[in-house]
Amino acid sequence: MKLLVDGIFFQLSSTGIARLWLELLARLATFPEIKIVMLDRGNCPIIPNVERLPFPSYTSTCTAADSFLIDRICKDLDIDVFTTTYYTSALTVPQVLMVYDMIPEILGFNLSDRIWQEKQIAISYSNYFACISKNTLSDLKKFYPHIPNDRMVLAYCGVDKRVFKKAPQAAIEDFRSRYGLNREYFIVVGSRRQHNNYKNVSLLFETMKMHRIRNIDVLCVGGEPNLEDVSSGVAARRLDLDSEELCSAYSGAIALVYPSLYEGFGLPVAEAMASECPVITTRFGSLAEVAGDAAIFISGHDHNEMKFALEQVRSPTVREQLVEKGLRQSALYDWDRTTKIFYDVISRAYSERHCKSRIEFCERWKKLRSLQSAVDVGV
Amino acid sequence: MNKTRYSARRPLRKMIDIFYKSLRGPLSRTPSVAGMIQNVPSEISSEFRSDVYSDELARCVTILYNRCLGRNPEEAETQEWISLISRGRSIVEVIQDIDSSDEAQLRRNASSFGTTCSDGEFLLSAGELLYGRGLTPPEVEHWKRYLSEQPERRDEFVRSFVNAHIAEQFKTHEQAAVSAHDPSKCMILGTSRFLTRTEWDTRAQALVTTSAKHDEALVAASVKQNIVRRNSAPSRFEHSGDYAVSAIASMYKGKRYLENFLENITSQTFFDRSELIFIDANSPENEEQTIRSYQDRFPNIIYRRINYRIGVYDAWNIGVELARGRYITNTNLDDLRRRDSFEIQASVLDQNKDVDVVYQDFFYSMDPSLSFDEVAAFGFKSELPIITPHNLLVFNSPHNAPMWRKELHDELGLFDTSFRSAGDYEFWIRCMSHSKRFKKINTPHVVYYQNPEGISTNKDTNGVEEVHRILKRYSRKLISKELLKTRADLGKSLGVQPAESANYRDQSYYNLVQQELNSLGEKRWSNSSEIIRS
Repeated sequence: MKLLVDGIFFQLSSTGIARLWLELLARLATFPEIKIVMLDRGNCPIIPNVERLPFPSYTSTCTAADSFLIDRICKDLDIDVFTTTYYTSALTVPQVLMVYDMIPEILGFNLSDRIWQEKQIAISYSNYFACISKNTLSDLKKFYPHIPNDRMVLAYCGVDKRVFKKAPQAAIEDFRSRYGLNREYFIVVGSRRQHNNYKNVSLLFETMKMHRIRNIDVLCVGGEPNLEDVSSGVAARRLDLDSEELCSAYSGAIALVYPSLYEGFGLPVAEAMASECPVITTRFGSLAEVAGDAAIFISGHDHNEMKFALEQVRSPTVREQLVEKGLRQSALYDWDRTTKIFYDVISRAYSERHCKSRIEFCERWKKLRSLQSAVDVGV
Repeated sequence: MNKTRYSARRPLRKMIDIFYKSLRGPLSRTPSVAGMIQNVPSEISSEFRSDVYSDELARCVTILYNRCLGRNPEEAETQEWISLISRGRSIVEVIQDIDSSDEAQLRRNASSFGTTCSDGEFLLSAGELLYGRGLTPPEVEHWKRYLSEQPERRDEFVRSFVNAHIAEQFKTHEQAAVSAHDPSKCMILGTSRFLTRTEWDTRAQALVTTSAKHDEALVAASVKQNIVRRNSAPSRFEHSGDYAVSAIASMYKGKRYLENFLENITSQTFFDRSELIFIDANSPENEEQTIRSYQDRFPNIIYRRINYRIGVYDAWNIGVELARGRYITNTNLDDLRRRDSFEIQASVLDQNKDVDVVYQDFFYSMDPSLSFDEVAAFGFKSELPIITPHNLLVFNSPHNAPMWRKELHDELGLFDTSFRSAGDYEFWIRCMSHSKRFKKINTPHVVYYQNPEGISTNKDTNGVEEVHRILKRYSRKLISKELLKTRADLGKSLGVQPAESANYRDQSYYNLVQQELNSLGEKRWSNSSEIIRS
């Protein structure tokens, strides 16, 4: 089976979705019956057994024309199945779409933005959907109720246990001294704001400011390059870390504070748990599901409640319980299992590649997409 | 609307409200007044009759006459309508009577431009006539949505254009200066951002602070090193004998950039499979001497001087005719290439036999003394799209350093020498109109120097006029026929019922197709046969 992967997300960002694909493709490429070609629109990583093919960068314009370029590659290379790291689509070959979340639909983003229009297109065109949490799957069903249940599969993100485990004390100390982290710290991972501030990290900063919590630092890993204007006394700093350092950072932290108001999965929660770092989070989106019973849950809207959680997490008994439950919970997430599920679903798409009604659908689809390209004046 | 406008006394609220709605609302969105009054609730229209005063009625008739017939009613006409109403004819019926009269019909037909063609086709013709050029696809889209298939809006379009044109003619010098081209800033192609002189200087300052690269002393040392390298015995250059690439350089008063340029091009990794052709357009600066000194080392440098002033595209055409390479690229004296620039472009053309022209993102520079790496560190990079007929009509994505197959000229001819600054743009559009294929390379291996003195960026030259000429020549050829269709005809292309296409009013054609795609995606699952395997 020849699988074409559009590496668009690597061009756009290096956040969790990029991590997901790195893990997934590295494993998928070890299946002898699959040959993987990846469209390199920029910044595509080198993955053993994955051939990279230079491809024009994505610009959010001429998106229908972009599908025709993808289709051309599919024909030239005899591709059997197409999948994409973000929301692009093919025209004739079966497509499997990885669905991360329905955040733009739920949080009221401007859905007439071309990228979200293309998400609709990718959903309308795709044959199978791999959702990274039950919550994402049920949200997908909510917005696209006509998609049959057997077209959607649950493919949880995983945790690389070789990397994310309790870091040895020496590694933690080494990490702390390397970055001058002399005091206790809470850790925040990934974007801190986003559309309508749904990442909600400001709740932590405001709580610390309001309650004058001055003896603890906040370590922000990744996310927006500029730190918020935090009050004096809240010593926050931002670092970009690789996976090994991130593990040490988790293992050395008081807790991961993750007050997000929506997530498609919430990789930091699972990885923190695997690194024996207690977690404070909400029940929004996939977070209740991913954290199980292994986190301190907050509403995400209450400073006093946040303050209480920050205190509670420092109690040795509470920590011990959270760490123990967290290890059990994070064991549920395994990249090998995800890869197997993804492999199964692309195999199903592969087996349908000659299906008559699918081909008829594609004929009509291609005509319409060609018409759309013809009336596209976006520049 | 000022509701006392029709009368010196308190207006009759219901009457005015209805007319307000009529004139501002549905009336102006439908070709016929009668269409509008279908929407007047019956209880209003029946009540309406009883509380109308005759002088108020007379005013209504006047408004109606002006709206439907474009004139005031005769006194006798007004009296006749009032008398009809007093005998029981409803005002709604009166509106219908006037609106459906032969006179109204005649006026509708006579007063609108080109009612037999679609808005899109009307706009293309009007653009040619009024603007003296073709329209770009975004302009067509913009005005099409304004016209929204109401013939009377075409009148407004023509009127507003004429007014704007007259206002333009009478612009004061000060006003003109405000809108004039500012060479200290340029748009970053493919984005909506501008690069300004201030931004460039701020970034330069930041780079100096954060890196020693821009330290004056280091720059000086690097210049010194270059001179040493040039003066020291160079390694012997051997040409491969294969001419893959011919780089053409048109030169006029280029002395200032020449040495850097020669170093930049001769150090191309692919230079042993390339040639550099200088066409000296009668430059007064005696660049020949420098070039000759390089020719001693690089036999693949061609120098041809024309002893009279010729345009840049005359020079390019001479270069094309001299070229031995399979591929041609233009090299501007003030631009820069990364060492592997020719090699990257040529290899993409080698590997993609169906591609005719390659182009790439590029870095902007406002300082000609910087090296490629230094400019790259500033990071002001274009974000060019894949080329489509529509976006090529809006901007020249091949930009300053494309590479193309020489055989294109055998088929499509040379550069049009009637252009002074947009002849390359015209050629790419000509290629597009012959369905030639363009391919974008992501690697930004080229620097474009934003030269305040450069001809194509100088407002006083004919750049704008030339682009208009190009649009006039190619808009009709390249704008999709689908975009020009009426909504009903687009509906036919989509295969939807005319009744459904009546709801299309406020949507772009793109979004209409989007809806249809989504609906197709939805319908496919109601047909469960897709899961039956072949």
